[in-house]
This record gives sequence, C-alpha cells and structure tokens, in this order.
Amino acid sequence: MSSHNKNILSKIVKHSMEAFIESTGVAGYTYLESPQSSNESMQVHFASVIGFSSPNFKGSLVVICEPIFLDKSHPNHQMGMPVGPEEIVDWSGEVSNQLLGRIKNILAANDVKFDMGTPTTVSGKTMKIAEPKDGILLKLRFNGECGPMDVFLQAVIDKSLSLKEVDLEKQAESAAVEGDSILF
Amino acid sequence: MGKKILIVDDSKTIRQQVSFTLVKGGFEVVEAEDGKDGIDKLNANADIALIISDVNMPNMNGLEMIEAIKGEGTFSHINIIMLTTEGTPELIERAKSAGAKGWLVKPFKPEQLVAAATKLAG
Repeated sequence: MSSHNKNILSKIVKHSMEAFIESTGVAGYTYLESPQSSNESMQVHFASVIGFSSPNFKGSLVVICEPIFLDKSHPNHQMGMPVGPEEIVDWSGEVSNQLLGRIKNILAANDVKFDMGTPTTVSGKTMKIAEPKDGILLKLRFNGECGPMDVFLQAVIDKSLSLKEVDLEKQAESAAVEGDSILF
Repeated sequence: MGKKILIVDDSKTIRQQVSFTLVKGGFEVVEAEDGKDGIDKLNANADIALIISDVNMPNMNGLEMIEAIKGEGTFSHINIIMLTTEGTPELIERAKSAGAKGWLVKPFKPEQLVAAATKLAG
C-alpha cells in the first residue's frame, strides 16, 4: 500500500511541479530520474515549507530553489517592477503555496481532502530532511537553466487510504484549475 | 477616480500583481496582509466597492473574514471574490455559502480578473 501510494503521489507531484514551472515562463527544466539521497546535505539558498493536514493525509511540502530561478520567474518582471531580496523571499513562499494548491486540486479526484497551512521561507547553507517514521518521503529533482530545484513531500497517509491512478490531463474535471474564473 | 477595491493576500508578490492589474484596469486599490488587516482597512475605507481575497492566510483566513463581514452587517453588501491556488468543489461551495460572489484560481489571467472586478464592483 505504501509503495503504491508513493508511486501515485510521486506522479502527481512531478506533474504539478512541471505545470508550475511552465506557468512561470522559465524554460529548459527537466525532471531528473535519479534525485539525490534524502540523507545528503544539500546546498540551500531558499527553502519554502508549507504544511497540510487532514484526518487521513498530513505532512509538509518543501521546495528548494536557487535565487536566480526565483528572480527570473518573479511576476514583477512582467509589470516592469523591481525584484529585491524581500520580493525573492515572498515569492519563494508563494512557489510552495501554488505547488501544494495544484497537488490538492488533483488529489481531490481521489477524495483526498486537506487543509493547507501558510508557507514559511528559510535560507541557509545546508539542509537534511529525514524520512518520517510512519510515512513516506518523496524526493524530486528538476534541473534547468536557473540551477536545480528540489521538491520534498513528507506525508503520513492513513493505512486505509489507497490512492487510485488519476488521469492528470483530465483532473480539471474534479476541481477548478489555474486561470479559472467562476462567478456565483 | 475608479471604484476602490480591497486586496487581501499575505503574499506581497500577489498583492502587487493584483494591484498592478486592477490599477491598469481603472480601479483604485487598498491592500491588506490578512483577514484581520482586511477588516481594519475596510473600517478605514467606507467607499470600498469590492473585496478580492486569498483563502489561506495567517491570523484570520479568507473564509473567516467573509463570515465576519457578512455577519457584522455594516459591510455585508460588499461583494467578495476569492483568489486562491485551490479549486476543490467543497471549498468553493463553502465560500459561496459564506457569501462570496466569485472564485478565481491563481495564477490568474489579468483580463479575467478585471472582467470579474468590473462586474462585481457594482
């Protein structure tokens, strides 16, 4: 069950991150099949962390990006506005927020519902993420013109929950997706 | 002078993006960092015609803010649009039941934001 859920979650996170990167307009990013070990210390500049919780699915999402990616992908450039250190830190948090939102929208098709927290950004030189005792740890690395990006999803999933394969292209049917506008 | 819109989001990036889009669309804007700040700004700006708010925020989230505004009475006539990364039917229904009039998913399309604001700012 754990390996089955891990495989499906991994596909969802990969798809969501690829869609997020595409939305930023920063090109040239590819998923690496062999991400680094979770025990390896990584060079970190900015890591944003956001938690999520429900009775059957809880954990946290961590996204690590190079400052150059955060600068290049920052929406302020489209508005002709400056991007300084404060904007970079804020955007780092928004990256994990938007990624988790995409993951949540896809998981809705699996009847997995959870509340999202608010993101926190930290910076430093190295970071280690431990595998949770009774849960799973996904590690995905993407590489592109603005350096590597690492995504970690740490989750404890209720034993009774078995995720089903989702058609990622058709997930829009189960939730509103980016750019959707609904007036009541 | 265009109609005044209150933007509530804990991300400065998103507030700037929404402000830029709405000012370009002919509106005047006021910004708030969370639901509690949003209510304070509402009390200080009686001429606000529309509120555009995130859902997940510290101190007071967007749904709690709607419930407070709709329950209090003074500003219950003001339309509210939610602007968030989430799009699950349950959350949209919850916002609708609380009194929201629209739901936009980030990253938003500028023309859709301006169209929704124009329609709901009265």
